[in-house]
Amino acid sequence: MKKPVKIIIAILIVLIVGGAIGYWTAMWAYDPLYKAGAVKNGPWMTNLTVGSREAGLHIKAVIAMTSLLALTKSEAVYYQAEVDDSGKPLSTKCVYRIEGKELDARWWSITLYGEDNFLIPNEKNIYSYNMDTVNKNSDGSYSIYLSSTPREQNWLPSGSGDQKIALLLRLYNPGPTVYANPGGIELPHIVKEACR
Amino acid sequence: MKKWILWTSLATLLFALAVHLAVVAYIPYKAMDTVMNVRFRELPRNAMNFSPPTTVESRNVPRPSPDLLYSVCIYDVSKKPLLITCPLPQGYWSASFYADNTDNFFAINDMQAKSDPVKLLLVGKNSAISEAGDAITVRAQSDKGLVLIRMLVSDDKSLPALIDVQQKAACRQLD
Repeated sequence: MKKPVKIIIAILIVLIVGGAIGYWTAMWAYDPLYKAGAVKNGPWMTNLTVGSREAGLHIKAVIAMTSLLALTKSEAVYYQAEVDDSGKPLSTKCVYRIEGKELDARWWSITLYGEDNFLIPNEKNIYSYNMDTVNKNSDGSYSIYLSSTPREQNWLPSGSGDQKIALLLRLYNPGPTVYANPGGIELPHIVKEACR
Repeated sequence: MKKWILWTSLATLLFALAVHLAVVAYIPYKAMDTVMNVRFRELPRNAMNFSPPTTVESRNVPRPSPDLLYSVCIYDVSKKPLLITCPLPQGYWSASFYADNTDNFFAINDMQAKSDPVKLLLVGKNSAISEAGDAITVRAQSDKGLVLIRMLVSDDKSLPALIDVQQKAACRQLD
């Protein structure tokens, strides 16, 4: 093969193959890269650089796609769960019991989102529970039931569809223990009860 | 031939890395541009816009909180600064400022506020103006972006009073 032909073929390979690999890894790898660098706490994960200038490229990309306009840690810390306590993906096919206690924050909430990162339609118009709306036991603990069929109290409806779901725990004005040990503080457990 | 394969492979990997980083870096700018100029295209600029309570119909920004009442001011401070005035509700309130790359470059909440109503002066990156009365001055990280006001809706009963407070917030350019 003559040298000019070799050079042209090389340039085409670099542009087409390199461009395709670069684009594909950007669109599909930013989420796994974000998760690999996140702080894990049971089924929950967080990253304390969310929203800040210091956040890495991949963190900013994930937040832009899934939680745009998130606050920095000085105002709020976000924990998301896409799996239950056993590490299995959360699904509308299953019933879960979210068991928790008071959290070290001025205010907190747990919200359910569908695969598209928006609220899931349901006839009760219940999308979340927060420290004021959740029914607590006398010791301050609570159980929230995540299911497609109604429960008497603390029912978080997962809708009639068949999809993967995610929970977002928002801690507004968190206390010092959250910053000191984001991977070790006690967060709600997500226990799978049954699946259809 | 071996050399040709080696150099072509190396150049391909380097180009792939450059494209990867460029695309990942572009995603936040694209997301903010989509929110400000596509989803909120009908909202007036440099003015406070009051969102209704969050429901399943709220699909402008991913993962909206049903426990918060939002107001948004899409700003352009390239020519004139912006004065944001917000009365405080009983519970949690915050104002957060976002640059065109999603950075939350400033935030203040009701417990940090030193006056009621809270007055915030947003000035451009290169603006010579640095104060306006007793307003807290915030220098924008980018000339275009948005300010998001959050108010906690602790229960449905508190909603009418919160909406009343929400509607009194203002965002206007200074002459």
